[in-house]
Amino acid sequence: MITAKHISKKFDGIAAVKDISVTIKNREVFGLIGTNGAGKSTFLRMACGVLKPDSGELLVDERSVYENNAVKRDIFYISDDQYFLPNASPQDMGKFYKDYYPDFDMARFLDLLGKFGLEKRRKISTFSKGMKKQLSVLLGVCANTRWLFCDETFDGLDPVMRQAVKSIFAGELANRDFTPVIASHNLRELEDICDCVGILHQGGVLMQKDLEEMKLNIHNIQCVFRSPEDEAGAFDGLDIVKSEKRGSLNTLTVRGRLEEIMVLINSHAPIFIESIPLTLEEIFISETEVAGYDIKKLIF
Amino acid sequence: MISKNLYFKLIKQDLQKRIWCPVLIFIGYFLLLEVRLLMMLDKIESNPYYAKLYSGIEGYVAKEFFGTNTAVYALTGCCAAFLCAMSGFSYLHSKTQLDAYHSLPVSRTQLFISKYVSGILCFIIPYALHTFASVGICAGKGILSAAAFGNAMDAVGVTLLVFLLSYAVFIMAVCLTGNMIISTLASAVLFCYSTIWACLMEALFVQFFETYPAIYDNNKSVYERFWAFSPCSMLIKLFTQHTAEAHADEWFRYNGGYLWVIAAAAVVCTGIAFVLYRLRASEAAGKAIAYHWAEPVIKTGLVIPAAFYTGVLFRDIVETDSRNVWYLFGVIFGYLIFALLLEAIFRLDIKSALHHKRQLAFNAACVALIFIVFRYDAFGFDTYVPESAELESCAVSIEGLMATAPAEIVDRGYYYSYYAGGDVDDYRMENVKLQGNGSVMELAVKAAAEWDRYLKTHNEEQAGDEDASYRSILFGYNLKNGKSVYRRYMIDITDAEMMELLAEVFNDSSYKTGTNVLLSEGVKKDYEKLYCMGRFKEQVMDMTPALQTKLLETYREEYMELDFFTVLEACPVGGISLMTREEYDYCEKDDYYFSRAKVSLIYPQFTKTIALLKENGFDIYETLSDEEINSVKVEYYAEREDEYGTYYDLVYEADIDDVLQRRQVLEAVLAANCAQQVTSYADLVDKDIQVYINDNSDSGGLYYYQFKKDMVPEFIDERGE
Repeated sequence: MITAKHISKKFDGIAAVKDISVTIKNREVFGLIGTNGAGKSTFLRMACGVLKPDSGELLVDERSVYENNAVKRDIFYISDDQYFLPNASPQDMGKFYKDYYPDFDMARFLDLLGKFGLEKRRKISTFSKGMKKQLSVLLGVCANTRWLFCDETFDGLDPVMRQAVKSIFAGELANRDFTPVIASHNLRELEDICDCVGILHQGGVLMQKDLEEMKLNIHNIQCVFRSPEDEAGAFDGLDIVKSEKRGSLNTLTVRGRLEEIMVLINSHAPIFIESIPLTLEEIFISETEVAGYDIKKLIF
Repeated sequence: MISKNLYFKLIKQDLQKRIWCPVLIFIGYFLLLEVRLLMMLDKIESNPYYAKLYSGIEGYVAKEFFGTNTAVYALTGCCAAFLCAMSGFSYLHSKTQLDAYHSLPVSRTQLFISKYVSGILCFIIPYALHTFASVGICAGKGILSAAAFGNAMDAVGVTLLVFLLSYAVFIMAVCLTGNMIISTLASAVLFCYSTIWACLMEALFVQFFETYPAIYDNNKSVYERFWAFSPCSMLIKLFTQHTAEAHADEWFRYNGGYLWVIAAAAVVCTGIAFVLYRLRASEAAGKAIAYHWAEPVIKTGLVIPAAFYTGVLFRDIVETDSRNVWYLFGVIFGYLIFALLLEAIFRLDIKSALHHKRQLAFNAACVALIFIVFRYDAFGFDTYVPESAELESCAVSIEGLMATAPAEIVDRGYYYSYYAGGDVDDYRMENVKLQGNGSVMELAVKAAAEWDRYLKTHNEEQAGDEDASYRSILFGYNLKNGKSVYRRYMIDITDAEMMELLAEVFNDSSYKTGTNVLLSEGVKKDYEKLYCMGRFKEQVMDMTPALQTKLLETYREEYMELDFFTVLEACPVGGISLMTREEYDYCEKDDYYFSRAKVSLIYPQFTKTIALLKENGFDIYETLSDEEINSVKVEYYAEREDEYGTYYDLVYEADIDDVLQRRQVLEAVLAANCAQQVTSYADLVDKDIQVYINDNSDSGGLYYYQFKKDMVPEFIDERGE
């Protein structure tokens, strides 16, 4: 588990990360969302030991990560602009990381290179940006570390490759102790892959939520009532985050368990009632609007 | 725990990553060693001059190729150190590389050690390989002596040490900065910083302190006075300031004892580089300076010398009375330009030139303070004379009075002196140790006070050009605290009191033993040859231990009786100098000559010495026979003046062919180099007439003579009129 407690980091007097407290559990896909300059990369660089927090505590499995080789052996960091040795081929990079990560699976790496259509002896400098990102992910996965930090790694991957990477992650999650932490400025990129998401804004954590839990606790309900009295009676007992009315059709975003919400509304004999699945975007918009932020300005 | 295996892998990886670096060094040393060796061997084999110069090919290999050329290999090592430091540690300037390396499960200490070691390997493998290949070539050709092999090994050791020092300094520069260009500038500054200050201080002292001794030995004056803490100064000390012991091997000259200083400096600098590396924040990549605290230190450290260098430059360009105004302008201009430029470089933004106004003000205050100290002699440098109680001893060197010093041998391109330094002032500052003579400090106080008074109404140039009665006198105050302080004053020799004090100093036995080489303790070694110079002839005779002892005793006895005022009235009639076998061998070579101006003088009063020399086969008064003279020419000069000062213009010349007239000339003339020993203090010589006698002796010289004023033959005077 990664535990960040009130960590802060300033660059030239400007706060890049402000008093962040985040917990990332093992064996879940954690998404870090935020605009440019929100502090995602800084947080990841601190989490992998590149940067030292100015204040606060950042522990990986209860141990400080900065200058701690034992912890860093469990972490593979893919930066937004991954470094490859000059004139190196994918095979060379595999050998390079093999020296640092004893569990690096060379055979699997070469196998995956083939599956992704990346030539093992071709110079990486001739690769496209997307190919380099694929290669970075493959190196990270094959390093067999418990933690894989990906900084904007999915941005720029084509849908087929995204799907392929996702399936690799799924396989890893199923087979071993593996926790990817993925930073992105695009919520849609992470919607179908993350179990838990943290939103960073201007260096601080706006919120951190488990997606399943969120999905269970917030619902979009469309309903039509016979009379305004029934409508008012039904709404009284609901924890409504957002409501919209077009004609007689009410569209409500409501907190709580779906069964309980349905029972309450049905008790006022609606003409029509239906639960509509919420997208991750809608969930976050709803949540952050309540907190006073216009998230659409932040991440879309 | 990290295994040795991982270190090995890290080093291997690092070497693979920057393979171009050892390849470049390999090519450099290949050209510098094997290729140059073969070219030089070819040259020596085909040209007898070089063969003689180096005493054969073996001599060249031992003395020069693996000897003096070590300085070149060491300098190349400095360039290699720059490449190794940059290629190994410049990843700190790249955020991408830094993220990659510092996220790996390798600590900064491990990374530093592996990169540091691989950098050394990048240098030492190619260099050692080429050295051994060169040794192999020499061995193959049968020209490798044991001395050459020893020198080659020494050269590797010295070069490696110099490399390690430079390498550590360049790593420091990389760790202190955040991008390649600033790193390169920082490397240059750190490499030369103490040299920059030493030269600046020397320039300021020379320009503003009138009593600061004009440089009597460039290197010694600058580099002994200032702390050499940067590699450039250390290298100069290593290769130019030889100890007496190191001097024994005249070809491979370096200050052996100083190697320990360089080794210690290399260790300290490596330690500092390591700490800077460890503490360097990863986010410093791309910035100009990696450490916030270092910025003001660096700015102040650069702006001050830059301002004064600009000032000195302007002062030197304008050689008029207004030069101090231009100096002030230069200092202000230099300060503003460099202060604003540095600020802009550090911010990487020209608009931020005025970002740190407080620091600009602080630096301006420092510049103003130093300006005042030098321009207005705030600490009384020129009027300083130590208290007698502070003095251990005092050295004095009187200008133009019996300029005897250890003899030296000079040839084309090479300079070799018997005594490190070789200069008259140097010799006297080191050997004259006056103690308990009240006149010495009285002379110093009087000289300092009167010179200060003179400067307030005149300028220094006037004392040299217009006031012909002024002479320079150099004082070396050896203080009880171990320091030596030097001051040079101009004294007025028309002042009778001053001349009396001068006489008291000259007549002091310590002054005499300290100024005359033959009377010094250092002269007590085995000599094999005695060089004698008479009025017209010179001779080198064999020296026996008995003759040596007797000659030194006799000469000492008579010299010690020599009185100051006698010296001013008399002219020397010859001189002697002792030579070891090695020195004599040098003289025997065609391209070397013995500097005759530096012999120990013989006065007419030295009757016993003159008799002893005669007894052993050299008559100092022996004249030239008619047959030995090829020609005698007299030149008449007239004193003229122009805007540059007084000079003597040749107005008439005449050959003297008459035998009787020639004999008259020979009886009256004085050898010019002897006559000039006291011309600064006594008006003994007729400067309007010069005589050139061409003889057919073995040395076949054309010698130059002058007449004592009251001894000009009548017919010479008549012709002149």
